[in-house]
Amino acid sequence: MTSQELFDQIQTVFQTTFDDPSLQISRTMTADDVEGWDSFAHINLIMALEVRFGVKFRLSELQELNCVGDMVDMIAGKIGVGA
Amino acid sequence: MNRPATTDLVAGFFAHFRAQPDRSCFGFADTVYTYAQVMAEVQRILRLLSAESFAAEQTIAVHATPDLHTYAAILATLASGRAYTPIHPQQPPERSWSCLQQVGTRAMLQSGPASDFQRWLAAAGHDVAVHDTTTAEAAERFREPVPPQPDDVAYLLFTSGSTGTPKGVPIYHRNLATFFAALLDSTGFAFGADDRFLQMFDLTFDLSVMSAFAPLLLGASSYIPSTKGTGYLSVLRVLERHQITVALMVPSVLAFLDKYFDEIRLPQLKYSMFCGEALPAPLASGWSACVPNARLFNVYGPTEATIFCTAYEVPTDGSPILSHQGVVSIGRPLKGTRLLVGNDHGSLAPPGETGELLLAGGQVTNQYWKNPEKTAAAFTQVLDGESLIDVYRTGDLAYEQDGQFYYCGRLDSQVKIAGYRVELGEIEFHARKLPAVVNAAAVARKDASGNYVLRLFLESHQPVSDAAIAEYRALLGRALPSYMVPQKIDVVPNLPLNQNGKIDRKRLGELVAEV
Repeated sequence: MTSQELFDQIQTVFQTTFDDPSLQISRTMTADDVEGWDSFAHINLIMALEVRFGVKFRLSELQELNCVGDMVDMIAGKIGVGA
Repeated sequence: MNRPATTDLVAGFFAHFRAQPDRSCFGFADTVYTYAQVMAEVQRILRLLSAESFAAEQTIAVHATPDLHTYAAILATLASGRAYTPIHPQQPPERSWSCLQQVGTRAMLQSGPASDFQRWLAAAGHDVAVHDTTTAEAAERFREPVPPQPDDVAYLLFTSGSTGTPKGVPIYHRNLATFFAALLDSTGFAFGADDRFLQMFDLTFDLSVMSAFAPLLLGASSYIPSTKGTGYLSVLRVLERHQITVALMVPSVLAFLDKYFDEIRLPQLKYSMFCGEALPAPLASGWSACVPNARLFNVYGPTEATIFCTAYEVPTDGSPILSHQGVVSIGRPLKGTRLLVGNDHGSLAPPGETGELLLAGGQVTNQYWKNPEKTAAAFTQVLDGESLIDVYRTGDLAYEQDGQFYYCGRLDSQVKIAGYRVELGEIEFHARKLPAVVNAAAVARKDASGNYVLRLFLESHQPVSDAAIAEYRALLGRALPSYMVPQKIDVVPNLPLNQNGKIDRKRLGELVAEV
């Protein structure tokens, strides 16, 4: 999988989680930028990413996720997708 | 423990300000404010409230952003002898306006020069004076609090209503004083001035009154996590960073943290309390290892009975946890509250028999605000022996065994989402008003982590595009708080009906499970 393919797949998870097929993510995007990204949605998002990519985040890792780019990089590191 | 000299939180705040002004009072993000700093803000807002324009206002709306100015605005409102009603900043403006109209207030305090709700009010032409507390003038003299009378309203909160309009719950000072007296005197909690409380609740949720303001009776402090998107992670951060000793949380926090329990150690926590939702026994048991020095409590109570009115201490020594179908017992009533179980015939059920849980006593309010119909349905009387007693019908099913009470579910279609009461009927009420929608049914189903997921089925006899569904979502978002907007919306040509011609909710539940 290329980095772009990974990014696109993460975008699909976001679109499904927020039930918004038109949602476009960016690396700098945070919870403040997405309508409906509250603490409930955050939980659903993390779970959906774990299921989609077969990964598990440790609590200490979740606490380091500040933006979409952090999520992309962490998943890339876990499933071995290069930059 | 030293029992506080007062159960009036404002009097307690003033007394501890005088005794120890440099003690910590409220912590927000990285900033901790002392009693003296909070008092300075309270005095500025008290000066503002002394203006002639507030003279006719019995209740002040407070735009409830989680910052020092808002907390000071609540204290100042109470100190001025008035009641406060918190307005959630993310709540749809139409809903907030409905609350203001029901309360009858024309004044709102707000931290900052502008808010979305303020702009909406102006655009709609509604006559509400919005006052920025951050620019209030410094106090020219020190103002003492107006002592509250027992029958004065302290706060008015709004809960989900099945007919589409939120219901106002007035809590009187007598209710609050009964709660604080029971909390600090009779439950076995030995809180003290050195305790640091977690305050993780929106100010529109009555558990915030306990977490933010009970510490003020003790000279203790309260710490408020950020409300940004990573909610429960910031709760954990505050527990660790501020070495919290008393934490009242909703069980949803545990459901989220469950798979990370092996990474969590909070040895400084002395009291870990859960309220707002059913507490699953396995979660409580797993959590106890994360908080090795804490006493665990499951507490219960609807807004109408002031914060919580029962408590059960969950054993952490390996002895069995009292539970019903995996849900931890809600325990025994606090001092001053009575729990009764009513049967279908309007009388009381014997121990062991499941029925509707009825609450009586000093913590229970007497009405829904200016809503005689809803009041008559929920606030009633039952025959206890030979005397009639006033009770509040909770709509919760429960039974009593050996003095302990056990929660068994709901009589109606209300569900709890992260502690918030959600009437599915309120969602359906607004959904039926969507364009091209004939009928609507909302379904709540628990996901793998035990959290409710809301799903909405809309019956429409016209083709509905994805764009239209997105528009439906936006329209619902303008009428309902975010936690009530269904995660998934499906349009069907006909809702399934049962033999009686009613919507077949069982079948809808199966449809959700199949997808």
